[in-house]
Amino acid sequence: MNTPSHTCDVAIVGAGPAGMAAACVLAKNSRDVVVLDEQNGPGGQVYRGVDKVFAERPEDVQFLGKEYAAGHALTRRFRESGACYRHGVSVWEITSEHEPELAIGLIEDGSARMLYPRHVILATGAMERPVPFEGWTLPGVMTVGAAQTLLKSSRLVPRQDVVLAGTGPLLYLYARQLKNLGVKPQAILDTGSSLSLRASLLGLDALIACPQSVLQGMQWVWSAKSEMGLTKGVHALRAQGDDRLSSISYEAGGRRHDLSTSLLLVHDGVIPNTWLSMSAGIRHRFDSAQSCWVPEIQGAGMTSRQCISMVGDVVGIGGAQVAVLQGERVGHEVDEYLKTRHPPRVSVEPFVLRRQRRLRRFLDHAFLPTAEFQLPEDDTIVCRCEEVTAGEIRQVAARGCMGPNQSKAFTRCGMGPCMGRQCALTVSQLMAEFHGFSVAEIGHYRIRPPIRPITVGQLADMPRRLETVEPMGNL
Amino acid sequence: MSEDIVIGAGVYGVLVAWALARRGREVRVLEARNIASGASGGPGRRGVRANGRDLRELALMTQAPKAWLALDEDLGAHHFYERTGHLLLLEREQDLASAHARVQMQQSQGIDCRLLAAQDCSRIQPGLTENVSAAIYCDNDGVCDHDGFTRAVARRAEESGAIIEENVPVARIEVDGQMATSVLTSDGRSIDVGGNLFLFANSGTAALVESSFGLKLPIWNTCLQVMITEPTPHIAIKTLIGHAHRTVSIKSHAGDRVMISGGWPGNWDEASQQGRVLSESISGNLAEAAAVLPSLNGIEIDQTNAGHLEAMCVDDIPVIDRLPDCRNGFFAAGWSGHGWAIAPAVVDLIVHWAEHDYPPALLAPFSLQRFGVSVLPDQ
Repeated sequence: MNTPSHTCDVAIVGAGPAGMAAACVLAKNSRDVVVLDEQNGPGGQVYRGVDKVFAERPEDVQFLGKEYAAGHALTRRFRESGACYRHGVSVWEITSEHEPELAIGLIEDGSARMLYPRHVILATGAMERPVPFEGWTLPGVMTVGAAQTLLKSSRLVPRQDVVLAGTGPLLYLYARQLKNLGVKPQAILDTGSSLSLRASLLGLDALIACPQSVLQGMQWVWSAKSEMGLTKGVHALRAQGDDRLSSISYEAGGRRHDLSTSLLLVHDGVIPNTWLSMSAGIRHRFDSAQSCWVPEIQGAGMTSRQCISMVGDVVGIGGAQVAVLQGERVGHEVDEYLKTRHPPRVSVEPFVLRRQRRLRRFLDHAFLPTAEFQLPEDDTIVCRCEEVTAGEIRQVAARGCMGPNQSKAFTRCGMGPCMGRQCALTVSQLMAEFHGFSVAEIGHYRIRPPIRPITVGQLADMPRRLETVEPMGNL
Repeated sequence: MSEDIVIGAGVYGVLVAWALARRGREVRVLEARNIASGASGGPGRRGVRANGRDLRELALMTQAPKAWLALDEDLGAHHFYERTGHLLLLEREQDLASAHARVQMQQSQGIDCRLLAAQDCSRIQPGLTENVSAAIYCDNDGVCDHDGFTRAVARRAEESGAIIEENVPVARIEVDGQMATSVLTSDGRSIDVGGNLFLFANSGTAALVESSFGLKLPIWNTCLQVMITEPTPHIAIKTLIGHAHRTVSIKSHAGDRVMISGGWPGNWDEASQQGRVLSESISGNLAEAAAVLPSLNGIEIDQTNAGHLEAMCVDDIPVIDRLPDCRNGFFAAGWSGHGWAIAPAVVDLIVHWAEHDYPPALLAPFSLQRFGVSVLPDQ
């Protein structure tokens, strides 16, 4: 049972920029580091498949852009760092603080096993915000993030009749990548609100802090406007079709429009992927500006559980550059913590990081979540797995249901195979709106392991040390 | 006004409230959290079985199949209750002698059951491990959607005039001259007990009895875990499955899912009032389940839950008695994980007891006397 890979100094979950950067620092300091990655090569979402693209399709580097290409240097540095990279591994649990030992439950090569690290760093990145609207569950509607994954991993490009809808930097980046490939979407429908005065001022500040990034972003939006039929101020988006998408309709400029299309790609920004950290019992707070949950962080990456740090987009969206800088800081912080067992003094943030924060403040205000996706209409399905509508959530709220966990008992909402990832935020927001509370007061689904699909056989065969748990007899 | 007060809105609290309200009494239910937030709630279903039950509770089960069907009927034929039969599996030679004795005892108490050979077991439940050598089968046992049932009864109680207040924890019971006179809520309200007081707050009972009467019950709380698989249309669970020596219970669940439980503990955090599953418990429970039904091995687990407190009693049966030194107060707690099935019978008996001021013989095994405690010294 005691294989060599059973224990380590630090286990890092996720091999995106933050996880890789932290691993490089720790490995350099001779720490025994294990990096657990669900994907088959390092890079995370932002640099997904970067090594493969460089090795097998170098001609694609051009259209994916130089930001993507920058990932290759990082993955090379990571591979040479001496950190142990375990790919194709999914993490289904982290033991709670009530259990005797810190352990990570893994599925690797088809088997469940536990890894016992001294410290854990969660660098689980971001996920797309759910975008519920009428018809979003029809085949033919997918997210921009999923489409971009197909683009990076296998150069899959949508047909010309594709429509992009929603808001957020990724929407425009993807449009740009399509343009580089000679694909011109039928329409780009921006559902975001127009820039407030505050956002414009923050924009000026961001322009001073990070002129290159802001100018480049402006160019993406501008080219979408002039060359790809960008429509702003879009609302009341609907997808229609019998068994798959055939057309969409929306309102803009005071009238209703219809478009026939077989593919609608939607996006409403990204939010921290806190599923694992929530299941580990780490304290989170609700960020009402970006309307998402974020972990409470002290120092560079210390959480409410001293043996678990977090870094990268999972602590608040910051992008790849911030993730690398923060990853290095957290690497040093964890190394120091393992030496002294005291939370180290916080090091001063480097200048680049502070400039990036100013850029982020602007982006957060410029790309607010789309209001109509946050509080969908009654007929709209909220929980795709169990087909529960927003109206049903409002009904159970009216019957006295005060929170998302209770709503499960009434509707089975959030209890399907996605384990609530697609509806958690929406259900909390609907409940909060109905009762006139904040989302922070209403709370979030309780997340329980296993947070990844795992079979009875895998769990049953897992090596256990059963002296710690005794069943209560036959009930 | 002679209002009856019920503490706790689990299945016992709402059933007694409904029974009293239907008799035209004024009833107020005070629930510390929400309806069915304790052992009466949560995912999955609860067993309604006589088979394998503690012998002291058997007499309460003779009328159970009829009583549960009648309740379903009264609730508008919701079919919360389902008769599935219960298969108590045996794998070891040494369990056979006691199984014979149990069958004989259960039959003598009026429970219809029989000993099955291995091939008959597989006819009732296909896919069982070849190691099964025999089973005790009880045709009349079944399962019940406990969460749905409790909520439905609560609604019916309210329709009949009962008032159910949620999020009202009771801090203290006041007694004067052998009568419970009022309850104090933790936010400082005092509510008069005009009629009788029923303390049916399973996991909250021991603390309240100790703080109000200075009596320490041999009861403690634990949270037990439940797991539910993904939909598995090809593994049909035909019956309620238990086991003579393995700690596992397997039930069918809505949507072709399988529910696996059986008494494996989670970890309760008092501060957050939340239960967490333990990976060792999950693994141990599933190993037992897969040993019984090997085809479960390839099935994914969709849900785990340890969010519902259960009160365990030192001798594995509940305590049901008057409140100490109190003629109009009754309490019941410490169901030890198997209080669901006997709820209708126990509630009927307690209501009868309260009406006629005479303790029913069927509840005698559960009195405090077995711990050497006499609640009304003059009786």
